[in-house]
Amino acid sequence: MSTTQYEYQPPAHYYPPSPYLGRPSPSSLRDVLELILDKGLVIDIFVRVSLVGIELLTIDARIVVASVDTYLKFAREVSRLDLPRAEPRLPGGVGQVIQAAEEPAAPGASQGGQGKQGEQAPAQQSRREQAT
Amino acid sequence: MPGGDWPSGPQYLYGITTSSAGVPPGLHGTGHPAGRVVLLRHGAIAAIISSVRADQPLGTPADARAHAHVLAVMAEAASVLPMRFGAVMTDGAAIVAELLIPHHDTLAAALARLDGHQQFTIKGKYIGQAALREVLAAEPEVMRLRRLLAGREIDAYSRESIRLGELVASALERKRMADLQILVGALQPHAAALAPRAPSAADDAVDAAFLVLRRQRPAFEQAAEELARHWRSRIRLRLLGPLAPYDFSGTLPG
Repeated sequence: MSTTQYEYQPPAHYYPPSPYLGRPSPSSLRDVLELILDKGLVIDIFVRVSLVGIELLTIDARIVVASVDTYLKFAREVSRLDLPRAEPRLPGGVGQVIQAAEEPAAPGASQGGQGKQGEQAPAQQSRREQAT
Repeated sequence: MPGGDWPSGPQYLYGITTSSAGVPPGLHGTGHPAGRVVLLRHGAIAAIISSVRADQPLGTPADARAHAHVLAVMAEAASVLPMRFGAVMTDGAAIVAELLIPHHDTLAAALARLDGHQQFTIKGKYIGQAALREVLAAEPEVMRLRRLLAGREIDAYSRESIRLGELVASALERKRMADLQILVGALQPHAAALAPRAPSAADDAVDAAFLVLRRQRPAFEQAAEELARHWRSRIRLRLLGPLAPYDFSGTLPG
C-alpha cells in the first residue's frame, strides 16, 4: 500500500507455519472491511457536536445469508451435486447433530439463529447513521 | 492542557490508546496524501489521529487498509480501543474537549481491562461441497426433494425448490453451530474472551474473535494449528491477527 510508508512487520510466528492454517498477511480487503465497518467503537456515542460529515464510500461487505435467493442457490447446488453410487459417509459425530427425524425448520429458523449469533441489524443500522 | 499545540483542521480518529504509547516513526494513515499518524494525549489516554481533508471522500480500499494497519501497528505495543471506520472530528482541540476530557475515566478503564490482550479472528470455510454432501447424507427429506426436482428448473415459482433450499440452509446453520462449538472447545482454554460473528457467506463455516493474553499467544496459535489440521478435509481455517480488539471494545456509555 503506497499510503503506508512505515512497513508493518508482523512478529515471527512462534510456530512454523503449517500447510493447514492460513495466515494471510496482509488480510484480504473483505476481511479488513468486515473488521473495521462492523466492529469498533462508534464515535457518535461519544461526540455529537464536532463530528465532520465526510462522505464515506463504504460498501456493505455482508451478504444476507437467509433469503429466497440464497435458498434457491442452495437448492441448485444440492441438485447439481454429483453423487457416487454409494452415499458418502459422514465424518464422525456430524450425523448425531443433524437429526434425520427432526421436524422441518420453520421459515424463520435460520434467520433467528443468525440474529442470535451476530446481531447483524444493529451493525448495519449504525453504519447507516455513520454514513449520513 | 498547557501549550495548546493541537493539530488544526479535520482529524481522522483511529482509536484511543494509553498516553504512554508511542507512534512508530513514519506511520501514515488514511487520505490522499496519507496523513502522518500522531497521538493527542490527555491524562492517561491518547487519541490516535492524522490530518485529513474534509473535501475528499473516505472509503477507498487504501483508506480501509490504512485504518486497520494503523490500529494493528499500535496494538502491537499498547492497549488500543479501535474506532469504527470513518470517525472524523473538526480539529485537535475538539477531540480533547469533547472526547478525551469528558470520557477520560471510561476510556481509561476500558483500556486497562484490555491491557496485555490482543485479538485474533478465526474464519473457516467449508471446502468444496463437503458441507452440502454432509447435509445430503444426513437429511432424507433433502434427498427426497432432490430426486423429485431432478431435471426440473430450480426457480422461485416452485414450492419444492424453495423448500429444498430452505432445508439445506437450516441444516447448514445447525452444522455451523456444531462446528462453532468444536472451535470454542479447542481455543477457549487459551483465550480470555470470545465473540462469535454471524456468517457472511453461504460457505462460511466458523467465524469468531478471541481475546488472547500475549503470554497465551503461543498456546493459542498452536491450538489453532492443531484444529486446522484436524479439519483439513472439511474446513479451511484462516487465522487473522494479532489485531486491535475490535470485537471486544464493547459499547461504552456515552
